[in-house]
Amino acid sequence: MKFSIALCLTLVLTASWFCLAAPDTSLANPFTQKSDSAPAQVSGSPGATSPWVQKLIFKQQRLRAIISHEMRQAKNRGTLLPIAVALLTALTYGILHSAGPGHGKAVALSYIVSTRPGYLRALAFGNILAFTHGLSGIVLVLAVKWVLHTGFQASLATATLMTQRLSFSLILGLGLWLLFSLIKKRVTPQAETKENAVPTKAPSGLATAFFMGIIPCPGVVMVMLFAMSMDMTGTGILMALAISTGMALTLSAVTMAGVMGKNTLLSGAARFQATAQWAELILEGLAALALILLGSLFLMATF
Amino acid sequence: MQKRLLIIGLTLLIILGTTATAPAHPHAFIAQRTRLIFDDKGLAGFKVSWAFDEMFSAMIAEDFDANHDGNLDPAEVAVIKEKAFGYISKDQYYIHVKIQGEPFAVKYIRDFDARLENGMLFYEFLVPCHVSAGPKGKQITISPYDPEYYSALYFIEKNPVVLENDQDYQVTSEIKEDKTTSIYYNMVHPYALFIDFRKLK
Repeated sequence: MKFSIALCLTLVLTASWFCLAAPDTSLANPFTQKSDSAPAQVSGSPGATSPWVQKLIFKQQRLRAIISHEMRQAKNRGTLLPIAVALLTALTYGILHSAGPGHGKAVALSYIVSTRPGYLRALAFGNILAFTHGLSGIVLVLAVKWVLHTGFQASLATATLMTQRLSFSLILGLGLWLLFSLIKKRVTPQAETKENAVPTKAPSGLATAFFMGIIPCPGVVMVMLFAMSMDMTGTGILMALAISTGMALTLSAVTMAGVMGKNTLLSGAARFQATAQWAELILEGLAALALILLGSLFLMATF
Repeated sequence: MQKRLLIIGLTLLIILGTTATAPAHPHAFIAQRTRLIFDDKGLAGFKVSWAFDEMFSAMIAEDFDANHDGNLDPAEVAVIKEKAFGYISKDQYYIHVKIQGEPFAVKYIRDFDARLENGMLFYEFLVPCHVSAGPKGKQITISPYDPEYYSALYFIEKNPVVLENDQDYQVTSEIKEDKTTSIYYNMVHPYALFIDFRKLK
């Protein structure tokens, strides 16, 4: 029974990698950038649409409208209550916004499953990924406005492309490193028994999260620009941080779920030592392959 | 123990299921109003009005309201048409039309205009689309959507459809999901305007 559940979880994890793995090509603004490579997401078939998806998209639109309305109120009235309302709304927006395809969930999940980070480290991974994603948006806007004084769309496009290439290259490298480590572990004699098995450790896991998150978040960029258009740069930074916190909550939930799923799978198979070892090996191998696949696909999409 | 495992498993399924299928990635929100224009032969075309959300508006204004006066003069509108609108022509300007069930490609538009009002960006353009009318009804579907889903387009709540010069025609219209099309990784049916019109007399 336990193993059946664990097997189901493995399948769900594997399937989820690919469901979540959509490259974030939507970062490029199609209104201001000529793009021939972005894949059309249209199907002539009825498809397995979800009735609440449309509602959640409307919810995001509504939340964004509330944030801008409350920020205007704060500007006009000079009171703090609208800012508090806007901050809470921005937090909620961050949670919902990062729940969709993109935002590094597939990569984070693959990384978590392919290593043994523990709950605290998994939590840190999700938080660093989310806050780096948000903070890079803040830094980009401030740099363009105060230092570079260049066209914003062009700067955003260039920064996004550069950070995407760097980030995706690192994901690919990380996948290759993990796969190499796994192979090395299997061929090393002392790793044959569970007692002697050495957990796969990625090179500086939290630094990896940092580099994965450095692609500027368009949602943060927009709220910053909106705030700055009303001379409310400080408030804009607060809103951006609230959105980042919301994204961190979602990403943390995903990474914690990854750890929980992996532990469940391994504890389900624990009484059969050989099975447990194979289950762990297969899981880690799949995750490493997923990272290689995702890194390659994402990287190719930037050229 | 089994119960605990089941709970953990179900929790994981819910979390992963949610994140795998949840929406949440449009970066721009556009409310559309459609003005159907008739002439003596039938439908001549329709004028599309888009109202962008304030945050996306701020991003466009940052670059294209060159003098930052909160208004768009003709020179700025011309630049916007070229550099913040023209690129979406490859996606039929996000206007997907079917006439009697057959796709009609929107290859060009006319009379583009853009304006800023209280920080909100508006685009307007005319889609020429001639469909002659007779005593039998003609069915047209207009579905606004961005196939890449950078933008979420929807019909404005108040007066989403306006008729112009329609006195010689019986026109009925309805806005509902277009079940024959799926977008956003098969998760969403776009909304569409279903029009039926025929000549009176």
